[in-house]
Amino acid sequence: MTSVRYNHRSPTARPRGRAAARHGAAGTAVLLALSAGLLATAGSAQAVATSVPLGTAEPFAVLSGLGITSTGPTTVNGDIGTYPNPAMVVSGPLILNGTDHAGDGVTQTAKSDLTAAYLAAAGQSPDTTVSADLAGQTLTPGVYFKSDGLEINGPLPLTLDANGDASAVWVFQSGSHLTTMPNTRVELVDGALACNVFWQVTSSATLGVNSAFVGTILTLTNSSLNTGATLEGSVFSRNGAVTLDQNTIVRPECASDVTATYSGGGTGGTGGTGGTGGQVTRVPVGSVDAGGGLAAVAPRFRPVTAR
Amino acid sequence: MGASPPVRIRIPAIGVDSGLMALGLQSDGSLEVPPEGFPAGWYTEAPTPGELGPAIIAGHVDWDGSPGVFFALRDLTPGSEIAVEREDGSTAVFRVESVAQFPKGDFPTDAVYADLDHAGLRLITCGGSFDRQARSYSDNIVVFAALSS
Repeated sequence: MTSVRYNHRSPTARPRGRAAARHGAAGTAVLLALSAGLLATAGSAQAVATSVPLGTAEPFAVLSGLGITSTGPTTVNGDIGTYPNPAMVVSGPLILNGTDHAGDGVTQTAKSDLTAAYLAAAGQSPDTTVSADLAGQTLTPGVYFKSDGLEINGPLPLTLDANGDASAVWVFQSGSHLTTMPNTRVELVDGALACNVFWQVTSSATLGVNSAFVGTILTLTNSSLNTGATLEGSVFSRNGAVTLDQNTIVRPECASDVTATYSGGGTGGTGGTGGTGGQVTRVPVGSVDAGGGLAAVAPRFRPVTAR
Repeated sequence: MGASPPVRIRIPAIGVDSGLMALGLQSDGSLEVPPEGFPAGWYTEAPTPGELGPAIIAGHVDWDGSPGVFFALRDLTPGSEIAVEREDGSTAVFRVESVAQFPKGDFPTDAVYADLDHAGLRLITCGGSFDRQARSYSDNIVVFAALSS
């Protein structure tokens, strides 16, 4: 059996700081789920959002100016820190898969880079003005601006569609707050990556109870993740505090050097464990953690005999 | 079929109709999974569904006390149809060959990821008993399917 490698687009390299996103043909092909009152003028002028360099803030999942409050159980994958106010108020478990830098030198430098990142995001030229609730919309890459609050009121998700371009970037700019309602969702499709979604918020950010959100939130004042909200991304408060309540925050792997050099197994013939060079260009290691959350509801499995 | 990223998966027999997010590898080399119960996700370093080789789609069996996108995966039977819509407008239609359960410590890496002489599809979710301490299931359920034509 010949091993044939198909050089399809392989977007797991998730670059930050890359140049302008390229867009698929015809920005006119944007799909908008229609619901009453919603009108984003998206898609008419495909513009360019550039990835926001985070510098030393990159490895942080939570960064604050006026302390971090957490009601557990909260899980954070990524580093945390707060400066200049180092206060941490933690009740219940805070499961940290990362380093707590508190107010140390690393945090201080990260806060400085956060300021630069915030200004970079705010400074990109908007090409689309959002005039309504983001819920139910499907948005292609670009810079989306709203002079007053950006909201996801639900119940339909906000969908970010990269049209297969893994370097596609979204920058959302709010002249006021960012607020999502309970149980709302942001979905990434067709190559869209959380690493490439940025939210610049001029006042405060609030994620609703049991909502699901995506991207790097750059907040000037306070950020709050209400009970059970999940974030695939990071939350950064420049001058305010960060308040967490039974959340899961997972900073996705974004470094461009994540093209790990898997040695071994790589003859390509059988695609063995950890191997490279077969139809599957990088074979995942081990099992798949595709279940759980806080409770098990799955019924018992009855095996089906193969034919 | 040529390469084209998948955008939607439908499994009529168990009521699955979901968009697809891109999945890569976690820093420890294991497969990424979606951040919550919906949608399902496709592994971007495997062939796109319809291409020669094993396409990989994973999804949660449940999340936060509610059924996830692949809650009923275990109920699939051989011969059931899986339709994957692709970005180029075509649809790859697969037929289930088998549905099996494996302890996570014995995950069948070769069976799932090895090269094939046809276009295949593996759907992966969790099953078995739930370990409250570890907050994870003991097993993986894998559906093996092949492009029907």
